[in-house]
Amino acid sequence: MNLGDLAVLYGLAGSLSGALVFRATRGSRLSALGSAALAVPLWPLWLPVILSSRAAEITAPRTPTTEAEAALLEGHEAVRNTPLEPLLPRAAVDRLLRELRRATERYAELTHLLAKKGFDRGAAEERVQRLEQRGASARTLASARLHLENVDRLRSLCARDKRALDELSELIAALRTQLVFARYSGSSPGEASDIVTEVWARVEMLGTSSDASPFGFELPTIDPTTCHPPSTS
Amino acid sequence: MTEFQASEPAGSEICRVLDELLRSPKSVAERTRAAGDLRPLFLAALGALLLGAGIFGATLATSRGGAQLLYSGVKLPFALLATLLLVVPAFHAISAGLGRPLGFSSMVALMLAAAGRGALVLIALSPVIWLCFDRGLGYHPGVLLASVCYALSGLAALEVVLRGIGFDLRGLVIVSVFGLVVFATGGQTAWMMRPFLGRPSAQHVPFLRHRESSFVDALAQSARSSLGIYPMERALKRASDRTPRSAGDSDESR
Repeated sequence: MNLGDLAVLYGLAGSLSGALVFRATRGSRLSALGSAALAVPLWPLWLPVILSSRAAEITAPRTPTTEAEAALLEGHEAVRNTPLEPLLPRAAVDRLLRELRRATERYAELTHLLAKKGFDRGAAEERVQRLEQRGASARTLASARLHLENVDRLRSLCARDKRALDELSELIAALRTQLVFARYSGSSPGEASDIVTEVWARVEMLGTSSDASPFGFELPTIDPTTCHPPSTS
Repeated sequence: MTEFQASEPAGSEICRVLDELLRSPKSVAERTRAAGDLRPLFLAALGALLLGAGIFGATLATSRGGAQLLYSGVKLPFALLATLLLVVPAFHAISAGLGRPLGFSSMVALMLAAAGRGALVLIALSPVIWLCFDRGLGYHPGVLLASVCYALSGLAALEVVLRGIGFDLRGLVIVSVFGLVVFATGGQTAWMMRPFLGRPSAQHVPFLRHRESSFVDALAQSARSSLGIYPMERALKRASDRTPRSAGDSDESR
């Protein structure tokens, strides 16, 4: 067996691995294709990683986001091909999922940011105290206080997002059971309809908080030449 | 329903792993040992390896220029990846055999992370190589300088491996045994993929040289040369010694 034969065998194993990875990858078609393309030349390295990651995904405890997503999908399945389907059509589910993921990502980014050293509240507070004790200039002190205030604002934003996502997750879980109940009991969809309206309202609220300025007001633009905001006089 | 917890988006996760590769080999090693999603680490390390080795390979070829830039930029990452493909199973076996078993996927991630870190160090060293060639560094000193750069990047990679396996006597033994495998395999792979620098005197640049001897033969020959024993000279001397005797023999036979 020469190098050419080995290369053919390697390519054959790579192609089979690529097909396997393509079938096994969940998510978008593009990511499945990318994953399969990586498996063809690098199957001895990529295949164990992707298979073990899938196993970890299956055995890992489901996060509230995935639970909420699953609840939404189950709720839709419960009403699919029934007179209740207009309550939660597929298009609405897809939009809800998109908004939910967007809000989750925003919350994750905020959490990640606040875990960094520069956003530590204790350190910011300590710095203000130290500057006060040292008798620092008013401008230095004002900057340190502004930093502390900003950290506080970010923390409250993060807490608000968490609360909103928790509430939405609970609401979606209730919606699922309500839809399942309505389907099997044949009862009026009134209550489920109320929950759907409530879910939409909360999702709209999440969307608004994601789009709005994080400080509740528009930040002034900084003049690059003077490094100061434009004067209001 | 349980409390909501943040899970990081994939893109920023990959960037965070790249940052960890440079700053915190300890957390990278811990990440490989944890039975979680290793895909971000794999992708970040693979990206670092392709980019780092590609840039360094192309920089090495600045001594020759032209098509050699492209050839070396492609061949160096390829040689590194081919070496990894061959040595990871050996590392898995050595580690398990010497009492430090690690899951195969963890082993893959650990090796790739180490190689990725080494490649990032190669990027950092590329300007030095470039400057030296630009100032007129010759072929042989250039090869030596490249070897020093490989050794430095190897040290950066070694830290990740040792932290993954364990920074103790057993870990050192495992890594030493594995080092022999990497030396032989990586050496032969790189030998087959020559040239990376390209001789300035060569008229045209080949993608690969014709197959000749092996990495071990080349090492043995270099070792003999360093002791002042040159096979070609010895062969010529033997030939010249034989010629008069055989002439004399024929005279006698006549």
